Amino acid sequence: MFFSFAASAAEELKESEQIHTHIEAGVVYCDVQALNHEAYFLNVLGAGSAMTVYWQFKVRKISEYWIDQAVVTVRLGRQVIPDLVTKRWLMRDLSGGVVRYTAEIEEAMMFLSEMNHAAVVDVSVLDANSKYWLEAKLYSYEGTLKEDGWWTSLINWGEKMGSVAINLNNDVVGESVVGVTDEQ
Amino acid sequence: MNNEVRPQHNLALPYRLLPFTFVVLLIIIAVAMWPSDNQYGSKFLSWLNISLLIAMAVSVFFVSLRKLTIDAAKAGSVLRAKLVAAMVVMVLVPAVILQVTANQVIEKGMDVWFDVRVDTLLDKAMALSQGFYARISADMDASMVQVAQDAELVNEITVVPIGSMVTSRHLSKLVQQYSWDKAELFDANERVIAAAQMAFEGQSLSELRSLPISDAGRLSVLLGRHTSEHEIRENGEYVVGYLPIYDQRRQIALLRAQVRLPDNVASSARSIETDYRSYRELERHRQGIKELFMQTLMMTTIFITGVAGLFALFFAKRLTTPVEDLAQALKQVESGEFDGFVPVRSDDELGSLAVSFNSMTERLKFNMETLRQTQDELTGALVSSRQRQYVLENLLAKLQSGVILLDDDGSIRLMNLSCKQLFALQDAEKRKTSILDFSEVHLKPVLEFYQTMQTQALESLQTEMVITYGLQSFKVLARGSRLGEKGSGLFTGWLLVFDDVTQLAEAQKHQAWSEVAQRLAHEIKNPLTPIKLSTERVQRRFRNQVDNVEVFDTCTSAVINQVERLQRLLADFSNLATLPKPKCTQVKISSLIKDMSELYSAYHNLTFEGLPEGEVYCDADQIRQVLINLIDNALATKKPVRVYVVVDKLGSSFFVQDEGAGIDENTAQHMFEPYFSTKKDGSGLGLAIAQRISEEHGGHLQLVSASSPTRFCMFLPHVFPQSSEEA
Repeated sequence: MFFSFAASAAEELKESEQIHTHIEAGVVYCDVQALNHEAYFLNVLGAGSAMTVYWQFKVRKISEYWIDQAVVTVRLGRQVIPDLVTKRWLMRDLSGGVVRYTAEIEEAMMFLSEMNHAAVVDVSVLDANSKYWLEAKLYSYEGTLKEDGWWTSLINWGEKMGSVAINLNNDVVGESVVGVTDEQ
Repeated sequence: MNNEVRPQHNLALPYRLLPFTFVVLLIIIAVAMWPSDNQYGSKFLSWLNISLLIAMAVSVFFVSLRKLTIDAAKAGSVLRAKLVAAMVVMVLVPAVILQVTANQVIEKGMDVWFDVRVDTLLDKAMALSQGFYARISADMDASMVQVAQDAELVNEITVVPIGSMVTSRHLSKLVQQYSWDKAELFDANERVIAAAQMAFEGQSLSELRSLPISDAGRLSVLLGRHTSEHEIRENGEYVVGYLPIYDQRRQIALLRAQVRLPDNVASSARSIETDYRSYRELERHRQGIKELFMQTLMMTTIFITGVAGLFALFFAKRLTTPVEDLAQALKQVESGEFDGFVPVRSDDELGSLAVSFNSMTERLKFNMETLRQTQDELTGALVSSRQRQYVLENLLAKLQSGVILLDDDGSIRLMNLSCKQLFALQDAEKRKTSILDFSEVHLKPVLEFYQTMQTQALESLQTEMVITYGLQSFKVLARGSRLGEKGSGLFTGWLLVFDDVTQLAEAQKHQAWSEVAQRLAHEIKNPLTPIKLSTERVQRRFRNQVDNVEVFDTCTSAVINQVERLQRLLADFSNLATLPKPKCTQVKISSLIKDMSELYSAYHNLTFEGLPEGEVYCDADQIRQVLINLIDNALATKKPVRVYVVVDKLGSSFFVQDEGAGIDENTAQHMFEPYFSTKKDGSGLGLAIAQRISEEHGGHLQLVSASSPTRFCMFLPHVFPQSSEEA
């Protein structure tokens, strides 16, 4: 029973882990999707509640005999505010400040559940002879959370959306290629 | 002092298991509250409650463990544990009932709050609001389509110079025609070239100011078709439409028209939206809200139970501390310490009890002191009494006289060792519990002595009795006295004292005989010599003158012989009376036996057996005299005679044994008395002298076997008694 549960959990995790990295112009970018959150986001947005998410990307240097060392942590926020009367959804990028309306709830949902071309770290920060691990976590809050303080992590520990190893030796700088191997 | 071990007041097993059952219950509740992955809302309260439960379980576990191990030995711990358990149960039971009831109420309340009718009503209201907004937008779009076909407006824009009011008048017509609030025309550089506005009450000048073109307007220009959008401004909500106006495919202007939504309708729509959002949010968090209520209630229950437990501990400690003090003091009293003082902590019943206890211990201490003094005095008296008893017992044990202490009924209360030895009672000691048990033949005189005193009710009696035990007879001086008086309440009975006076009687007898012998020797010896000399003279002088010489010789010889016999008899008397002291030296036994063997070498029926090593400390001449006397008596039987010596660690025993006819009882009884003889010419002094010589050497001479073979034994000790030597 335990093994069957573990197997199904692994499959579910594999489906939900849509995470890829690529290096472009000396910067490591990440594409990640939270497919298992789409229904939840649709439900919340359809009910007229605002939704705020923070995508956290953490790059850790892999240590053989010690705890992995965190190299960089990046948090990117997005927010959708529904207007049920006019059937519009305001999409706001909290990191860049860009605001846009959409009349399609699916687009608003994807705005929250997908993070494409997110710049994580400059390659110059990383050591080519070391191994690195990129982990993506999703912190989702109902409502218009305007400040991403340290206290928010106390009540919301986030959900791990996936992790991949960054292999700098196999990546070609300047081209958009997937230079990673999935963890699973 | 009572040293009885009291049973420990241990808690019964159910009470011991109660806290651990509570711990298990808390852990089960914590596990049941473990948040699942699909749990709605925050898991913070769940983890907080679980942490509280585990903390409480750990605290209860260790406190219980301590109470059951370390504090269990303390007085009052059982009462305290029971009080705490009772108070916790008293709080816990209603709290659990309240928790269960509240859960049910919340469950039912949720069903009421989220009723389907409310849900439907909100959906309809929301649809109504959306329909209103959609209608306004649709009207705007429709009006834009119609204006786009207005050729007159295009003509006026292209022909009429800017600044004339023609275009503005046309816009006013359009405003009135489509019920717009405002209409504005912008050129390609987004400058206002004409404008018209519906006047209304409360209109401010700022509303006359033209706003910049929004992204939707630019999009309209870019796309080349009309667009509309909703704008929420400070003074209200608007539906704004944009229409690019073309003249032969050349954009000449951009028309912007706006309709202000009625404030009351917009407000109601927004209110509906807000309510709808709130309701959906609540509905979405229905499970979370329920869990929030339950977790909060659970936390309250845990908090109340914890506080109740702490309060119970505090209250129980206050309540049981006086009891603990009392129990501790009682233990001290039980162990004999009366210095324990119970502090009076309150004025209630427990305080009164403490005061009474302190008073009681004071009295007990005083009584115990008195008792201890009395005990010391009694102990002193007892020690003195025991010392006296010890002295008396030692005295009786060392006493040569036999002592018997009898009760009134003749029961033997005390009999000393000398008495037992005197009457040969060592073996029969256990059977003699009363003087009436003196049923043996040799003890009959003793019984008769007691019976005489008892029957005649004599206060005291003294008499001599002869005790015959086996072949030995000895004289005993018996003295009896009555002790105590009847009715005095003290001891009453008889004290009998027995002394062996055999030797004393013998000595007296010897003394008497010696005196007689000396008197006889003195009175008879003097005339015997002249008689003998005269008879010898008569024999020598008148022998030739008598007619019958034979008769004369016979008569004179008889006189002479009898005189000589009398002289020998007198010499024996003299010897008996004045026996010299033995002059002792170390004499080899073998030389003694050799001398005797040579002396009796002519007697073939006499056998000397063995020549044992060893020496005896004796006067050799006197011992030879004894042996000669014994051997002569044995040879007189004309039967084989054996002489042998046995040496042991005590001394040497010389045995003379003959196989004669034996010795009758009367002879055996009196043979050692002087002048007792079975021979016609015997003086009867031989054995008496022999016995005296033996006794003078510290030994004895006795008849070992009266029947055939008759055997005499002379025992001489290795150690010569000083008293005898001095005597």
